Amino acid sequence: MDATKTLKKQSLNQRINAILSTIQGKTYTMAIATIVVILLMIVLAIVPAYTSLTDQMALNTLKEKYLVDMDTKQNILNTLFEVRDSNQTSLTLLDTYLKDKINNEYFVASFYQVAEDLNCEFKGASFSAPAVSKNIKNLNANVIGIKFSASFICKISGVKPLYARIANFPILVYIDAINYSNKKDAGGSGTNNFINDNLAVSISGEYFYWNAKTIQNAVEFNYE
Amino acid sequence: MKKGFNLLKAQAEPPSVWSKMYDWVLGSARIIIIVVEIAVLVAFVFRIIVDLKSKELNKNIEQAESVLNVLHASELKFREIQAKTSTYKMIWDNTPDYSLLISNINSLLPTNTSIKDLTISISGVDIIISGTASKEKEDDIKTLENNLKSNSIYLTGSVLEKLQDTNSQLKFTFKAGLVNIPNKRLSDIKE
Repeated sequence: MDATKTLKKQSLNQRINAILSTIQGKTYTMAIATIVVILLMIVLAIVPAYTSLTDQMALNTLKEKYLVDMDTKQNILNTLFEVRDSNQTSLTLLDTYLKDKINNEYFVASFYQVAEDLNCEFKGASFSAPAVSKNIKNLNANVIGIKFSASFICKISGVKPLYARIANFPILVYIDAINYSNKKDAGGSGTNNFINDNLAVSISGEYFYWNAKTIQNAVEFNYE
Repeated sequence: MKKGFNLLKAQAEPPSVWSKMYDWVLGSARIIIIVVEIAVLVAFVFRIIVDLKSKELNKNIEQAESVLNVLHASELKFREIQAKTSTYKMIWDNTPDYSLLISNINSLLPTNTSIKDLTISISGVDIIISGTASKEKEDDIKTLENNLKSNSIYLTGSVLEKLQDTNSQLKFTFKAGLVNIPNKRLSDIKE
């Protein structure tokens, strides 16, 4: 066994020597060995070092971007603080006009006041339970609508001002119907003169409030 | 001492595999190892610099995050204000304004007429005007119809229906669609 091994070893040495004994064989062998070592160094040393470095640099780039974004956000917030402070009055009005609760009493009082200002008579109003508005599409989900209907007695000259005053309430109002008629002349004169008769005026619409939570329990409200 | 030339080739033992390997290790391989070591060393130095920068960035990020955490409640409030503001404008600008229509229709109504129970109903994109006139005064209905058709820029597709009731009275209903109804504009409102 040992003799066979020795023979094989001698034979291998002889073959290697034969290859290395020529200049061409020596050159090729050294070139191959050099390339193999270079590749090994690249794979085992250069690439891990390079990858580690570039990975960390990429991570740093992301961190820098994140930091810049946070700085931008902080600057924007600081600007918003200034804007808020300089518009405090308007923001207070916004909170008043788009309240965070049902405000039927305001409307009843306003209807009464507007009617009085225009020499009309406020007969009554009814309000529906809160619901998502169908009048305006793509409305913010926090906006809740309350449908209302208000009745007045008015001369024809008062109909447009009455409508305009209610439509332009600072609290958001969407008037979708107005009806006026001398069918039931409140004055009882029955002159059939649309200009002089008292008209029954009905204005229907919806007002809005801001609810950051959920729709409150359905509550109906009537004022007569 | 006299120097001379030795033209004989030096006689030496042929190099073994191991001696050739040894020569290679001391030659090419050494250069490769040195180059690789330099490259790894440079990478290591850069890595230290990059790590230091990373540490500094982490510190800055931590500081910025703590500031933003403090401002979080204000940020939510700002978002709500922005949503409310845009919603307010959106609702206002998408609400129809019937003021001009009412003025227009009222100006076209007859002042001295036999028409009774005149009712004007504006709803959404439609208008219905109904009333009653005696059969002898049918022309009053025609006059009203002509007024509405020829002098209103807000009405379209108008239809007049007349029905005779039992007391020789004509009940009529004038229906039309509404066009050119402007929306309210927030910019028109004075402070």
